[in-house]
Amino acid sequence: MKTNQSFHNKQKRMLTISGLLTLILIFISSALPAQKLTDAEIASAAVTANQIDIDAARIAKGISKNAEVLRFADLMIKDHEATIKESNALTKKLNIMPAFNDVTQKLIEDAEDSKKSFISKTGADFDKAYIDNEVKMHKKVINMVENDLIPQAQNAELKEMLQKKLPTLREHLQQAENLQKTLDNK
Amino acid sequence: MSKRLNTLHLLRTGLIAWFSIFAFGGFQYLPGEHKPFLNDYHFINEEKQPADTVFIEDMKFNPGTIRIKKGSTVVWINKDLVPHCVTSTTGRKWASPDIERNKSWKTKISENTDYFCALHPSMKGKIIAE
Repeated sequence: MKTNQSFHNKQKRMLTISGLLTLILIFISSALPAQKLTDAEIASAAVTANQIDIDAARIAKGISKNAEVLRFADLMIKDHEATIKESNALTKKLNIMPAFNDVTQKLIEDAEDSKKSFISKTGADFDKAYIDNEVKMHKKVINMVENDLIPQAQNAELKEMLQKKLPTLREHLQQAENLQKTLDNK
Repeated sequence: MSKRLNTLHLLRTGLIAWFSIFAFGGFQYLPGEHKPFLNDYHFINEEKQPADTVFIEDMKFNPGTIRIKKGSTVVWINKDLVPHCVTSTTGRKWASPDIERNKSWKTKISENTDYFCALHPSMKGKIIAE
């Protein structure tokens, strides 16, 4: 009888320990972010996002007649080209070869889709559709850089560069939203 | 014994310190490629008078407000990823061309001025000329 009880006690203890271990494991796995992107993939996604905005701005420069929209498109080309130049200089220095990946693929597919919303339009319709898309795009990219790319970047310099991009992207969003308001009032 | 050790120790530290100061100071004057030191930016104008410096980084002028002597030179140094420019708000009396990353632009300021970046108008700065 006595041995039986001590056996039960032992069993109970084992159960408690294994339960605790499981809890600890669950806690650790939820606390650690899942490593999804490598630095090479992050670099690819970042450069692609910049390039997409340059492409859209080039279309705007070909179609729009609105001075404010044209000025905005010029700024997008200037800022995103400068950013790509700095990104390329950094990846070269760090010996990172940007690697095409699912995030890059999704960015390109989405850009092709959203291009349809403005490319066939003209005049004020084009201006509104292009700027609406710029607002949407910048919100999406800010979210991606802030919540996916920065937390997952391993290299400190790459992380710093991504962080330095945020104020520029927020300024672009602000300008696009201001333009959106003036275009809506017309 | 320990006194002698201390003296030797002091002598050695002194020698190392003296050598490193000499080496660091000396490198600046070596011929060949000359990388600008921060001091060069401060003496960027030909008259070799110290200039007041504003850094441009993370979509901000830093410091946002500076106090200067009337008629002295202000230098803006762009450390941001993207090009910026500076334009006086009051009557647009002066305006810089685009200032690329790691480039600078300077002008003489003789009165209180508000200014902004014409590319990114949310960036604003102020100069108080005393």
